[in-house]
Amino acid sequence: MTETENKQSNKLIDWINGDYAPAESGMITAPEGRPRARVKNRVPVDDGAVKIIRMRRLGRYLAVVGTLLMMIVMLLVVMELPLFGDASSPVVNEVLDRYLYAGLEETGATNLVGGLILNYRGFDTFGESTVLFIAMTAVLLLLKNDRKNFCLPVEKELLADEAVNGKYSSIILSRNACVVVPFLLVFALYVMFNGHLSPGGGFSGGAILGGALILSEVAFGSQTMRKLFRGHIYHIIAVCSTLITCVEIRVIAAHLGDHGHPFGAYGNIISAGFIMPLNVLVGIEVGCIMYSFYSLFSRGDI
Amino acid sequence: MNFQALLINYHEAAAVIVFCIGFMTLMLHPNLIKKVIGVNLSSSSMFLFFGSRGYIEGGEATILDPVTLEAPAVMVNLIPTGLILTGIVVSVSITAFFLAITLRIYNRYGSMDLDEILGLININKNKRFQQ
Repeated sequence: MTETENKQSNKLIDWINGDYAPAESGMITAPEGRPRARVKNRVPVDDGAVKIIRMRRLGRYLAVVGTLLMMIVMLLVVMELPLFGDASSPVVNEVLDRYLYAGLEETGATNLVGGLILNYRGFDTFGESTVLFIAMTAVLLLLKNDRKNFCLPVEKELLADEAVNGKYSSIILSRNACVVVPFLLVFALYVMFNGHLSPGGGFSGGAILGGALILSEVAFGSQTMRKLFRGHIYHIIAVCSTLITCVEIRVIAAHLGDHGHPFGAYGNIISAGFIMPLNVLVGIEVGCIMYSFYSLFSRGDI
Repeated sequence: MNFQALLINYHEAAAVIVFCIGFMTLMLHPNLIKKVIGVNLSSSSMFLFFGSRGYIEGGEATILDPVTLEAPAVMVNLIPTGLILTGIVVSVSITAFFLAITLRIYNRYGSMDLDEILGLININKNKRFQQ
């Protein structure tokens, strides 16, 4: 390899590591103050440390052996399972027949999975959205930058990042996002509102909605997104949709004994009882939570 | 020992192997981000396992025609599909939570390497004892 190629590959590695920006054609100096720990040589090697190192090595061997044993046991179990695609396996029983052949009458949804997860197993879906909400709360507690959780080097780094982003706002990205984001939003609404008729539903529609919000933030910058919505609005939306989901699940639970009054004709948009509004609420909640994850991880704020 | 079944059930066998790879990454790799990747790998292998368990020979997706309301002749088992939705959501939540903790640890110790972090903690303990 010649020297110039070598330099190019070094530049590539630096670019991957984030120390080099091709647009600036120079090294970005990393912000000072963050501790760069190289402790391996500084660990005092006394008898206790040697004992700890030996114990950890033993633990690693034990982990390898235990995982291999676990793999062998699980492969033995796989040997005894019913064959792949076997229609006479014990899983294919009257429960599945009920879901498949009575699902349309009882839930009114032509997407039988949508009927399954939001009518028969509504509590389960409510638990899922609660799990996601709790995860968002935990990430918010851990990463929100405020007076008590404040790290000066990280703050400096964020400011430097914002300056670089403002300097090199990509016109290709923003113009493309102008075209793509409206379509993404409409597609997310379609997937949510049509979740009981076609593949899709609340979670996938919410993921698309969150993707559209994240793309617009990447393209137009956080200041523009703040003009659209203040940060806490996302939390309020997420909380409200979780609560309304809870209430609707309660209403469904009251009717769990008698499915059978899903209003509307089968196959229409307005049919299948509470499945469509539940899909929309779950979708809005998931979209807001995805966007909160992105903004919390990227700049510690919403 | 029915090795023929292992060859026919190769989706499940692959899921088991991928699960063990992810679990091994979680146990052995010192880098915290790669531990998160290991957790994700094991949960994805479980999705593969459940999805392949739900397949029925010649089955189609369980979606009726919205106009004629006709069902496909053979439909796959839809219960694993509904269960896996829970798994995906929990996997996403755990990943986000784990990554947030990793970010806090990095801001505190300046390192993603678990060995380095444990060394730093030991050094701090020793200093405290000396004082």
